[in-house]
Amino acid sequence: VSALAHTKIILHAVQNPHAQIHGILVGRYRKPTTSGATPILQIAEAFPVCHSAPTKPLLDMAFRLAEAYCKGSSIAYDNDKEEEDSSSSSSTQIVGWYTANERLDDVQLSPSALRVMGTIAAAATQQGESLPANAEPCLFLVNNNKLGEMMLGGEEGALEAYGRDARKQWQNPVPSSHFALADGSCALAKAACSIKDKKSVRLFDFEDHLHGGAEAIKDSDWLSNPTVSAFVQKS
Amino acid sequence: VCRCLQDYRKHKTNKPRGLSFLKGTAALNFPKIMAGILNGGEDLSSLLARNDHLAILRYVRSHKLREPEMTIHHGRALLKGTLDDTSDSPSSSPMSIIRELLGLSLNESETLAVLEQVCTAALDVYDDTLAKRCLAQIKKRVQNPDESARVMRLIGLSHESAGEIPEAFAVYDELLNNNPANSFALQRKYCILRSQVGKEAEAMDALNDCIGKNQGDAAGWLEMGRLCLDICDYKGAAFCYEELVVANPLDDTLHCMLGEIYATLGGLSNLKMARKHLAQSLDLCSSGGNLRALYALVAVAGSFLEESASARKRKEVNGDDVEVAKELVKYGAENLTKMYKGSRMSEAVAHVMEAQLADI
Repeated sequence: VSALAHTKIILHAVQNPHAQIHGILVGRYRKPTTSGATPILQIAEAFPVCHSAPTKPLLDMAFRLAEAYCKGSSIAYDNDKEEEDSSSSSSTQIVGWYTANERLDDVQLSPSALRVMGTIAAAATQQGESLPANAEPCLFLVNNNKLGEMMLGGEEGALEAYGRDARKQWQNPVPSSHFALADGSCALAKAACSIKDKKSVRLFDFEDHLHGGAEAIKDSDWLSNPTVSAFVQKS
Repeated sequence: VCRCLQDYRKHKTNKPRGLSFLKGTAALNFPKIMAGILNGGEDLSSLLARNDHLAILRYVRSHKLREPEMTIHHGRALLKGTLDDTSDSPSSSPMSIIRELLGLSLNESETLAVLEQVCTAALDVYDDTLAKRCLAQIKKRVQNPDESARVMRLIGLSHESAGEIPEAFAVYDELLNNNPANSFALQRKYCILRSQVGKEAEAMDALNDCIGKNQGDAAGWLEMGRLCLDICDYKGAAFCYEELVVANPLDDTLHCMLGEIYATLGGLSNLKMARKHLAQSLDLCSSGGNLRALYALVAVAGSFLEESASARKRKEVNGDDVEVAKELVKYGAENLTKMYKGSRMSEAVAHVMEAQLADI
């Protein structure tokens, strides 16, 4: 999980503390270096979508816009320089969903998040592009308790990953040893959240963008969120 | 950030959210008119510029704004010295006599009102010390604190804030004993249950109770709608939002939300309903078009065309409906592309809209 994506997820959660949050994870699948191993999922970007229960039209549009954006602009990966063979990874696409719950001790995955994962998975198989074998999208939950600990100085991350389980639901927790945050992600996220001047590093999600109205379209770019990207790049 | 974390535990009150949602409706104009009369028609920014503490607090109270920091700041300025008053008859201390002579003091009812407001605001931001001090002062000044409903409300809230749930429930139950239709107590009971994980069913029952006793409570219906959406009960959510729309037919956000819910339910007849509500939402929105409704309209009309294209359903579908849907997609796509011209996202938006138009 790249530092940028991680920062955006945490910022989204902290800026909407009273609400459930949802967002798209974008990245690519890489074929494993040794045959027989499972493919690696690299998450480069996170697009925050909403801070209330998601509805179908909103999600529909959000997915389409996210996909169009991925095709249009170049999304950077942390280890692009090491990449020799570009055919070993798929194109950048929607690879997952992140969510956080309203209440502090609620660590269950909400039914709406699970439904969304179902549609993401269905769309992934329909893509027609050949994905590496066993590649599947991933669901991330921000554990509110761990988020609190992280904010107050702990080093452990607050994200929990879930993969597909036997019943085709996304309830299978992925052990934390199997996924990694890019170096310094936690510190970066904490720094972003502690900035006093909220306007300089403000994360907009799709819902904010829509509520801002026609006049504020240029200011509330939820796809690139330039203030946040600039902050991450500077640090 | 620590406070943001504590906010996760915050018990929500229904009133501010309900009112902020119904922004376009006549229901909100009445308090504005009253406040205008009281404040001479001033708005918040000019009051803040003048630093008129009492008027600001009155404004916040009458508009039911949720601004705890502002309230505490101005309330403390007014209550200087009163909070630490340990004398038995507060109005006879030397400081207060001097203040009265200087025309600076509040009279008794004003003091109580300010104390109440500051107490609630302090509980909102987890400032327990300030809340306790306010509560102590209020209890001293009120004739029969144990029988006063307003005092009991504050006691209930402070129990909630301290996490003493059974005591809080006891207080609210007593309020309900005295007055079975006490909406505040009903709402607080619901809020407590809502904040506890695993008690969703009881929370729904409590909310049903609230709404049952106050049929016209828009905030209650709104909350119920949200609860239904959270557990993916879209039919229930549609019912709640229908009630809201009946009560507030001129609010474009409600129509938009209802349209989206029908779209989430899916199916040709629901998509038709969705389309109608979204169109109504766009109609009602005066300023250049409701972005959310435009996007939703394009999505809904697109889904309608997709569903109606499947061979089986072609017989059930009216040719006119299909034409209307196509026109709506064109309308939405054109407007959105126009709005995004010149912004970074215009490429992505244009791409999506073209894809939609191509599907027709």
